[in-house]
Amino acid sequence: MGRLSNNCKEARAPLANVFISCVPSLLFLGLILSLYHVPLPWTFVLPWVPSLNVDLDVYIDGLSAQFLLLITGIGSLVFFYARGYLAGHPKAKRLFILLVLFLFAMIGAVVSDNLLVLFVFWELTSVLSFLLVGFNHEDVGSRKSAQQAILVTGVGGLFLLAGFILLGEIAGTYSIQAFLHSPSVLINDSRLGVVLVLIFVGAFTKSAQFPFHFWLPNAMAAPTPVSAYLHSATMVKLGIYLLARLDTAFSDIIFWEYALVGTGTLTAVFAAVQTVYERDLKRILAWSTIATLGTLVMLVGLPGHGAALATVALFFAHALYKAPLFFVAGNLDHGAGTREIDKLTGMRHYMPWTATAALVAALSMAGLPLTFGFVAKDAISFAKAQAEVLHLVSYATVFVNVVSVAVAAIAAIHIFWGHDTIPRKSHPHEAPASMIIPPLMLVLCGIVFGLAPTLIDPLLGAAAKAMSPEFDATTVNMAYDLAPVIEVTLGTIALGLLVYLRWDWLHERLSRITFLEKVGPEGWYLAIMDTLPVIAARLTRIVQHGILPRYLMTMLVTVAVLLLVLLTAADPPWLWPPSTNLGVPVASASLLIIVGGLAACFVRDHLVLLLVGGLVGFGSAVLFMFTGAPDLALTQFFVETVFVVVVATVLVKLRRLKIRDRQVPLEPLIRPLDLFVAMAFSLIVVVLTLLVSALPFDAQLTDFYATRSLAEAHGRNVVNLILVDFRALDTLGEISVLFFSLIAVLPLLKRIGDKRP
Amino acid sequence: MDNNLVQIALQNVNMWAIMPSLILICFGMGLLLINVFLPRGTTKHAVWISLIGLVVTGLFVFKGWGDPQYGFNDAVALDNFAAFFNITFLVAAGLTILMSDEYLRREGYPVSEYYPLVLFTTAGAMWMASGTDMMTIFLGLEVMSVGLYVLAGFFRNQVRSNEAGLKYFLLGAFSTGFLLYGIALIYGVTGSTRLTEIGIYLNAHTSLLGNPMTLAGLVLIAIGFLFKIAVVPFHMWTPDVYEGAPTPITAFMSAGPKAAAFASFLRIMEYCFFSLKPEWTAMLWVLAVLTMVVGNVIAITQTNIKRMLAYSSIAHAGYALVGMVAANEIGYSGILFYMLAYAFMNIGAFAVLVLAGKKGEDNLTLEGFSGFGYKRPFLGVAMTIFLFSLMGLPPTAGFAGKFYIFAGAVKAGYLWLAVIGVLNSAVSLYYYLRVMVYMYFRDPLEDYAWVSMPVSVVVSIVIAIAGSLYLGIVPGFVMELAKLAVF
Repeated sequence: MGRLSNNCKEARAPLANVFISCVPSLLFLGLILSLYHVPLPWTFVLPWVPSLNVDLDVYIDGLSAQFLLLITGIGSLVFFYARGYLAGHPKAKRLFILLVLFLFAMIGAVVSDNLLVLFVFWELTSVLSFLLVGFNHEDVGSRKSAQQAILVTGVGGLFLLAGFILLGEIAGTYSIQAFLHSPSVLINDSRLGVVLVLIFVGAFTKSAQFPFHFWLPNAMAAPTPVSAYLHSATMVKLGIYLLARLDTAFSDIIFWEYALVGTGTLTAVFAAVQTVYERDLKRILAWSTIATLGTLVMLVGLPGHGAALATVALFFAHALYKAPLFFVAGNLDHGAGTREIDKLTGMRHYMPWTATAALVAALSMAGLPLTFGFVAKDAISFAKAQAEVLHLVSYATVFVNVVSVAVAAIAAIHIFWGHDTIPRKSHPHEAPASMIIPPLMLVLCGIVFGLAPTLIDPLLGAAAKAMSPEFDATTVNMAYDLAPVIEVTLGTIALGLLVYLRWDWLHERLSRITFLEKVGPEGWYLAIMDTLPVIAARLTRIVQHGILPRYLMTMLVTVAVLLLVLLTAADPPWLWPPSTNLGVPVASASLLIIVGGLAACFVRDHLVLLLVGGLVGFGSAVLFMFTGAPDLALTQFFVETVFVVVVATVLVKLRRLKIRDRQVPLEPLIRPLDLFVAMAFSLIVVVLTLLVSALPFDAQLTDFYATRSLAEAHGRNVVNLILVDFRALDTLGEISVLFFSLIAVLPLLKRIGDKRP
Repeated sequence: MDNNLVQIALQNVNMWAIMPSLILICFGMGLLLINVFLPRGTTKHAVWISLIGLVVTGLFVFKGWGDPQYGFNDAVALDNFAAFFNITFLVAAGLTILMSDEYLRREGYPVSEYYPLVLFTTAGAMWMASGTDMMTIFLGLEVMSVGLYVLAGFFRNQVRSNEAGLKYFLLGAFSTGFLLYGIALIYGVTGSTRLTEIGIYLNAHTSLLGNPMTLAGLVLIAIGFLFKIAVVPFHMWTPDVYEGAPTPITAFMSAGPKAAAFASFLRIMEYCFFSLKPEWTAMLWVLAVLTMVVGNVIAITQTNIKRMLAYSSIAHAGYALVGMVAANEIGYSGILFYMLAYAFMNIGAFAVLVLAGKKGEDNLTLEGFSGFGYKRPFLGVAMTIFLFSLMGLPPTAGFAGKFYIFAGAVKAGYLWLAVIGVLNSAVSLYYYLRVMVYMYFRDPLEDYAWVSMPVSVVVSIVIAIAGSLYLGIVPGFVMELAKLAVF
């Protein structure tokens, strides 16, 4: 997208970059100011496609506002960070332009009130994600991952479109708010299940839910700012945004609840297990992001307003701790040149500021008190208590929490506080300020909101109210209620630390179990990608062989089959023509035609074939002659003679030039398939002809000419009169055309004559 | 015959009804005459004159919008339906002519007779769109096809081009035979070739609806058009002909004549056979699915981009056919919209292909496009837009078109057909994206130094981009027009 601008002078680039990187910050400030002064919700309407009632309706309520704040807020820091991360990179500007486009696409997706407009922006984010993941296009892995990302999310998006269209057609509106206010039409429709499944596929592919999750860890091939922004904080949450947006309409449906809770839990557990397989810090973080996304989906599915509050709280907390951890991974890559956790220990000596950020973020991730992560955990356990979830789901959540504590420990303790025992060639160094300030600011926010949750209460309340209307925003109280959760929290942390200590051992054990890779969804994806071209190639060989007679045969067979189907479907009884006694001339003419046709099947020589074909023509001429059309017979005789003579001349000439003898293999005398097709087709045509001749003849036209020819045109030869009197103008036109073409042909013939030696 | 009768006959002629095509024909013939007096190899004047002819015709079509003209005893109608399609043909012809000169010159065929042929073909397409009588439609079809047979085989010394012309001619003649057979049968049943009269007659005599002759006539007429539209299994000529024909002609064929066949097909089905709607929608349902699946799946294996676009055009015909199956206002107007959108995006993509080649070597393999996007940023961005539009991704014309058509299908109750269509779009992502992967994510193998950017081709690309984006971002206006155009 940004290719055009690459030709600009390099000297101007940094200034432009500075300008571009300010875009999200300005938007963020404007948003904060407006939020203070104008009460939610905000709405605007712009007509777009009036014929289908598609308007660019903008509707911003608490949920949208929360997303907007994160998109612009995290966006500001990501842009700031990217300036340091890509300093001096030749394609830095391209990245910024793509990021700005992505920013606007995200904003468009979360503010639009129209399902179709939402879809448009949804697909735009997929496309931009494709371009951003493939940013390092020199790398084969990057290219493959980019393709995988857009194929999975793009295809999911198409399912979503199908779901939206169906939803819109049933509900009679594409406006989300209008639909949410009166969802009963859809709820009572029998196609509800289809709509939900289609929407689920769309949302689950985008938010990396099982079994569509595999693209996300691979998308880590993107530059770190992109991973932090798209694949952790914003884009992957779009699916959850959509589910949360529609939650009010569907929350009473059992299928909705079970599907979301089931998928979310399964995803979270699966991702938690997968985390242990990895040694690359960024991929570890990716899997833990998927686990969080799973938890979020589960929370959306849970009934009750406590779940709504938990969703928005976890959503917020995750952005505040996961983005800094991604930044930390980027800093390690930058300063130490690796992200492998085996090669990273004791880094605090070299990177003190990064270490601070990592530690605080990890505390929040582990859910320690006084951090915002703890507030989120508190809200989750309240939601679970309120919704009375199954024990299985509870255990699963605890398990996921344990693993996330272990991940936090790896990111903070192992990498920064472990013994620095690994010999290094080069000295790791701290990242520049532009790469330290963003993570520090985010973790600072986490601490501030953790200490004083009341600061963020109104926003979370408004967002939760958008998800469950009965939620009363004034009663939000995120104050600490340590007693019930503290034991659980402590237990989780203890278990998590245990997992952390045995991490290498677990990794060792799990790595031996490789069947998941083969049978897992990614295996299916690869299998589809591998077999699709094979199937396509096979189909091409069958359908597109390039042999003209075979093409013709396919056409004939299709026509025959279609006619046959129709004939069997037509109304019986059919009218058959009355059987008449054929006279000798008609019978012999028909015999001539039949002999010609049969002979044509067994003749190899082209010249003979031509003569045999002529037999068919002459036969029909004779037929015409004895069935009352002597003029037609005359014409047929004439045309047939000229045709045979001309083509024969050409054939003889070709033979003299020896063009025909060039390695043309002789065809077998009898080709059963061709014979069958020819017989079948002609049989159907015969039946058709019989049926046609059985229909009563419309004598209107004959009568017209018969009665008028003598009275009006004063002649007895009707055919002649039609030509020169009734349709005289037509005849004049035909004759003129004939002569004009003669004029054109003459110079051509003359030129050919000139070239002769 | 007395004078009175002649006058009555001439009153019913009404030349205004065929005025657009008449203007085009006049320009074409005038051009042929002028060519006689100019030395061989001069072609610039031909480009200009044909473009002026197209613009004048376009203005005339615009002026006649909303003011339907009927002529020749109701054998021709210049109504909104015809006018909308006429604009599509003019766009296709204009873009084609703009990119042709450079290409013909490069390939060593600077022959000015090429342009009148394009104009005549366009006029034939216009008759097909405005024909309200079987005979007019047949006449239009033949005028168009004969021109195309010649144009497909235009490079006389290239075997591929010869093969294209010959294959198209032979198979086309067969399909025309079927069409005529069908017309004859229907005439035999109803005693008329006038579309509305056939429709009224069939509607009044319901006993004829189940008659094998009526049904056979319907099928044979349909086959005549399905061949031109390149619907599976009558598509086999398409890849071979599209690959062999000169690239601008391939672009033209995929947009103009295809739209013309759709126009007549739509009119005949809606005017004549509305009483048989359940039967023909059932038939088209199966064919639409087959067409989409075969077109998309085979396109995956193609490494030649021109051939890949040929298969993709088959698939796109399948999408448009979905609108016919829907057989409601949104479906039909969706077809009109889609054809116009397709003219912009597909011809645009071909225009990029024209520039990417060099003399005698079309450079159409995927490998040949490695890193093309970096070396030729403008062409890269243009191709990206066209590919996105072909994929049907927003905010491009292709998305809006597909959306209307599928929405029409869902509205008509063909949910599964819409789902199959969407799944097919998903498959198509695979091969369109591959072109982009080669353009942007591969290191350039060549320097693309030979790629020149002649103004005319760039203009056609810019127009195509503008059209693809305009129809995608603000589809409302054109869609309203399309709605006014359907019956």
